[in-house]
Amino acid sequence: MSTDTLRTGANTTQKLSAKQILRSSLKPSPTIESIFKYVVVILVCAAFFAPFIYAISTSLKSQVQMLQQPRAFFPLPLHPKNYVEVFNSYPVIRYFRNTLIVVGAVLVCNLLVSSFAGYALSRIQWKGREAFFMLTVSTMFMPLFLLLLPRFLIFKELGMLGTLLPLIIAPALGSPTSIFLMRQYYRSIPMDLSEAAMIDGCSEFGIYWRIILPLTKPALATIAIFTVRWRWNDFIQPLIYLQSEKLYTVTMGLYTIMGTSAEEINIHHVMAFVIMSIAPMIFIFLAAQRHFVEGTTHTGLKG
Amino acid sequence: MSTAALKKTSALDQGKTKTLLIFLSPWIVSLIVFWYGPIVYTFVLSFTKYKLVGDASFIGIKNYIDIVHDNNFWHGLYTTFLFTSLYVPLNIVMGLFTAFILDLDVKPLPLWRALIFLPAVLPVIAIFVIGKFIFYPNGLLNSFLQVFGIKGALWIANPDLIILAAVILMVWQCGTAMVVYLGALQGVPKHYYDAAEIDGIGKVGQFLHITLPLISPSILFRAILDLKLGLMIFIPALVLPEGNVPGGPADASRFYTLHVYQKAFQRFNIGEASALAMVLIVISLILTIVVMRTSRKVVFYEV
Repeated sequence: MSTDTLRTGANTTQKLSAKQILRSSLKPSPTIESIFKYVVVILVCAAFFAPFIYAISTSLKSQVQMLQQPRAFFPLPLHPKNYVEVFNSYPVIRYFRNTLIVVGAVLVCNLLVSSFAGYALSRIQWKGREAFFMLTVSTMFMPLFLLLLPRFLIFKELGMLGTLLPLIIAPALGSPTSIFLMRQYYRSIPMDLSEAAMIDGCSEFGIYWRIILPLTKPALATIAIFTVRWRWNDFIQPLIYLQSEKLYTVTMGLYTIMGTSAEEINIHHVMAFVIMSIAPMIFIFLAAQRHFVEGTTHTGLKG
Repeated sequence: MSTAALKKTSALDQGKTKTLLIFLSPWIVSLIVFWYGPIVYTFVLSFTKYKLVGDASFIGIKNYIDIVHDNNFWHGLYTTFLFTSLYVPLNIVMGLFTAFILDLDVKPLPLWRALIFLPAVLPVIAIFVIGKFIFYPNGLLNSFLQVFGIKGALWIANPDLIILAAVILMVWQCGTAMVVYLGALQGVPKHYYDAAEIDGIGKVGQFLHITLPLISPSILFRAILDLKLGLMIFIPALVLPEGNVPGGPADASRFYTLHVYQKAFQRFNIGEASALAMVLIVISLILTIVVMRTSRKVVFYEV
């Protein structure tokens, strides 16, 4: 029996090597295959990226160049004055300031709250923990758009509607995705560490603050980046909660500019503002792509 | 156990309970006020007549009767379902396709991945503003088609095509799905493919019988989130139509959410808007359960 198996095993190896030799001589040379591979990848990536080049080139066109048909993909001479004109006709600095206030406030609070909640959901034993975790995760599947009306009424009751607070307070009190990510990360840290510290007389908070928290820096970085991204990109909540133009964020500014110069012929100003509004996110993305990828693979979320 | 030791454990327990309460309370407040509370609140409001000013009065199921007698309700459901039924499968296919070509060992991966991922990282409104310009009569897409002698279409001015334009722009953001699928693809053990190779199974067979089953949990997870995104589609209705007519042209992009938005924030009919919201919450819940149930036969979980 065992010799049989051995023999068949040997046979397969022999067959395999024969097959491999055959294949390597029949296969088209690997360079053609890999050239084809790269052609496909480059074409697909070009298709994904072309609209951005088009947006940038449009943002650098003069009114005259906008009227030319067909429109040049690379306009010469460049017309960077569009950016100055947008600055002069819209409160661009105020849009950015409002967004930065929201992003900054939410960032600090969410990091703290999510780190706390994730810790309580993974490193402290208590009854009902798993059920509470399910309640937390379920919110990730809730249709956020439909929660905005009742939230609006709550903010109205709390007298927050004339301020930026409606954009800040809910995400500042923790986000389900951040808590989920933190919990997963905490679970990867051995419990022995906590137990050793407890034997040494460290309090629960001391263990969190001095031993565990410093170890979670990579997870905190990922959450920080996701928080900035979500707040920066948010449009529907500002649209619903902000009733004064003084409070408009960058995305609301984009909507305003879009509304006032909708004709195709004026779009170079719109594009100039779009480029300004997405430039910070592009820089953050290029600098920290790893965190974007890791956060997305671990949660599957766009946010 | 001595009393001293008992005292010590109870003191420890007290410390633990205190830490637990401090750590969890912000998130508990958020869960009640901003997540589960609003759903209950919406449910209650849907049985009342409430116009934002004055008091709410109980009127039973009248709101539900009124909303189904409104043509906008059925039209909103139709456009939203049409969008979702195109968006969900296309986004899965594009996400899989891009993930698959990036899994072919192309270098440098971070560059190609970044180009496809980028649109998914930026604000949805910015994507639709840039996208709108691509679909203008003299935009990038029609200019591109002209190169091949194909006469372009009036995408965003044509009621038959605007949903397709919105789907294309949403699928342009398939980078999130791509990253999730790419992570799953890279997790498939390489020796499975080697074994299939020995058995003489071709590349297509390998994809259908090894890759797809093994990454099917990721596909299901993304499909559920895509389904939610599809049902909640809102921004294109505001931004995309020619001339910035919300829901245009000819009501072709009047999504369900736009109907809710206008009921709530333009006509301030909170009662009916809440009833509309409840209907969509229930629909999205039912569809999610249906997808999960039917997928049990298809999705493969490794034991």
